Amino acid sequence: MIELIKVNKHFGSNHVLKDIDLQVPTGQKLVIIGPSGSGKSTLIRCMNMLEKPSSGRVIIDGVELTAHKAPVAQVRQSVAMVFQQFNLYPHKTVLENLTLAPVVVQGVAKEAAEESGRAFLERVGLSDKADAYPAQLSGGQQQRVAIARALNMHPKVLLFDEPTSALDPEMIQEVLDVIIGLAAEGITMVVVTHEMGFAREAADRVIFIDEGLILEDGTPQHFFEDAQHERTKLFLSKILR
Amino acid sequence: MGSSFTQWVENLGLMFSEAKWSSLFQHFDLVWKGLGYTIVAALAGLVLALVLGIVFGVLSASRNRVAQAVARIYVEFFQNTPLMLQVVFLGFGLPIIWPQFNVVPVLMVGIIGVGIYHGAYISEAVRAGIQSISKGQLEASLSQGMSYVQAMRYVVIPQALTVVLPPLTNQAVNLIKNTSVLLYIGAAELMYVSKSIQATYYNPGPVYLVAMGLYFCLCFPLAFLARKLEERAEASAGSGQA
Amino acid sequence: MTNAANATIGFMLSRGWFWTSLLEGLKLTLYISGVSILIAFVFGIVVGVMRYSRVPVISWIATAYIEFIRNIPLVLLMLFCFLVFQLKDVTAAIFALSIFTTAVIAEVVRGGLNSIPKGQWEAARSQGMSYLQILRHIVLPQAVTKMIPPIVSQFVTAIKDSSFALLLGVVELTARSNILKGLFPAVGQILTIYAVIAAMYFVINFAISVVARALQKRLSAGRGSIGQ
Repeated sequence: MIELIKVNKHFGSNHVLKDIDLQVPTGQKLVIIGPSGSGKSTLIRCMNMLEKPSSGRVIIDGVELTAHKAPVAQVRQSVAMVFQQFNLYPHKTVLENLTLAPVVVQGVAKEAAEESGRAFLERVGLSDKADAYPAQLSGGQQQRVAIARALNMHPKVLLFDEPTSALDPEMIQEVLDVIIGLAAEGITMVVVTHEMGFAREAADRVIFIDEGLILEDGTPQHFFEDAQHERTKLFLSKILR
Repeated sequence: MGSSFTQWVENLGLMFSEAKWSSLFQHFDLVWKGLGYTIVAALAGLVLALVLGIVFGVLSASRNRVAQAVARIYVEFFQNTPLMLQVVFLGFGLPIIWPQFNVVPVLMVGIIGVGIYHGAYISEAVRAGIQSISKGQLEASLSQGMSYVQAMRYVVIPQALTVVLPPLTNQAVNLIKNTSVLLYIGAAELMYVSKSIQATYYNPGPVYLVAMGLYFCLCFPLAFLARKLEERAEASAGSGQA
Repeated sequence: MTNAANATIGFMLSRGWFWTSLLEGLKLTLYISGVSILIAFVFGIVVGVMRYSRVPVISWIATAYIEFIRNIPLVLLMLFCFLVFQLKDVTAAIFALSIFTTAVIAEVVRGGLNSIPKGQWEAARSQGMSYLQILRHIVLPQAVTKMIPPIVSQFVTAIKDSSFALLLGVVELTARSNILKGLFPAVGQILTIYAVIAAMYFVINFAISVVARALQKRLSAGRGSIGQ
């Protein structure tokens, strides 16, 4: 479903991603962990071309996004992203946040979009907030709305860029529970996170990235019990105190 | 020295005598007409300035180097040269160079001058407004498959409007005041009417005092509105984000 | 009589008196705006501080002044000073421009003072400083950095607005265009006259803005004001 081939990314003189090769099969739940500055955010943002690789290829569901004149906007309809800063549209109600893109981009009829939107709001436990504005919601609620917004595009891939890093501690679990619930279904997911408990519980595969290189790649069990690379072990020892 | 000062005060008093006031009020219909033209010129000029401001504002906020440069040139040129010079050029220089331009009525020439000048200031306000909307909003909309234009239209610009409204209202006030420049090219707005009444009846005191009052009535409510909008914009800043 | 040789741009630009005429105009422009700026800077700060005063009468007078002046056209103010106060042309222009710019700078000062967090006042007051001492040692130094860009942009505006003086008969830089285009009526020459005058304003104003930006960077470097 997702293929990154020899992807490099430079920010000025900073070589952030170094020759990344990564393949994510359909239906896999991939968790990416790593220290700050490791390039993990850049990596996931290359998957929907919010960052353009300096070199290399990005292929989603057979379509090469890095090719000349690639239909990036079209592919983005099936690759939904949930951001660390939520990025809800403050001038729209919760329901409007969910229906804007389906109506404007996918050409879905407003009623149909609202209907499926309400279903997803129910799914994340916020059906009573459909007509509220984002500013009236707590951080955890806003992020759950962001997830419902992503789902209402009926995507093939879900990308989560540190979805709980900006939340107060007591709201982290409500968001993680939603994501874990999604993981039980067949959709392809890539999650960048610091939440080790979540990785252990929901991931099929965990990769560790540091200084632009993927140093460790395996099942959660392998990762937490049998990590090979020195830096992985160092990182884990700091996190899992 | 003391006597010339008292003479000055005396002269000042004479300027506001009964006769001077009545000669103004006898011809007050002219003043209303002038005020009407001022309002027309201000509204039309504002429309032109808004159109130019939005176009060049969006251009200067874009990531396209050429668009940025074009907008930059427009803004820097019209912000660093006097409105008077621009109006003098349009009213006196251009008709010589391009005789067909003489067809354009003087009020329209003034509207063009004032519109282009304030368009530059409005475009800076629009640019600041667009850039004040966090990058995350653009990213969220693009990540949902919207085109740049769709993202601008549905997400960024509606939010930018709240930020842009106060400076825009301030520019409207400045525009109203600047229509007074049109007197120099012969447009029959309030300033021109005031000057011609004053030149005929030698009553600058009452005439200009009344003119001040009229401009104040036009401008002050708008300035007050601008301040209210400013407070509102500050209050609602930063919602919907972590 | 215009023959082909006299109608070229090169001909015009090579006439010494073309440039002297412009320079005379520029001198008047800079004189009018320069004097006005100096006066307005001093009085603008005074009125701005008055506006911020806790004594209602003082604050009210300053507010009335600012609100009135800012809502009438500068053109009208100049004509008023010229015809009603019966001042000489250049004096009237300077007077009006000073009054106008003072009001604007007063608002900038008020905005700058407002931007200093209340905590600064409280800390200083708790140490026993008087109102004026606080202004002088704590608040104004911090506010100055914020006030520089709008004040500079007002200088630029003053230079541009000095062109309104031509309505009073002052032959400043913009007015020179009327004279020169009579002497050099060819199309190319006329365009060049306006272009040269525009360029002169542009260069001066642009240079001032650049210097101000550099000055602001220098002043705020390493200082780090609170509430930035």
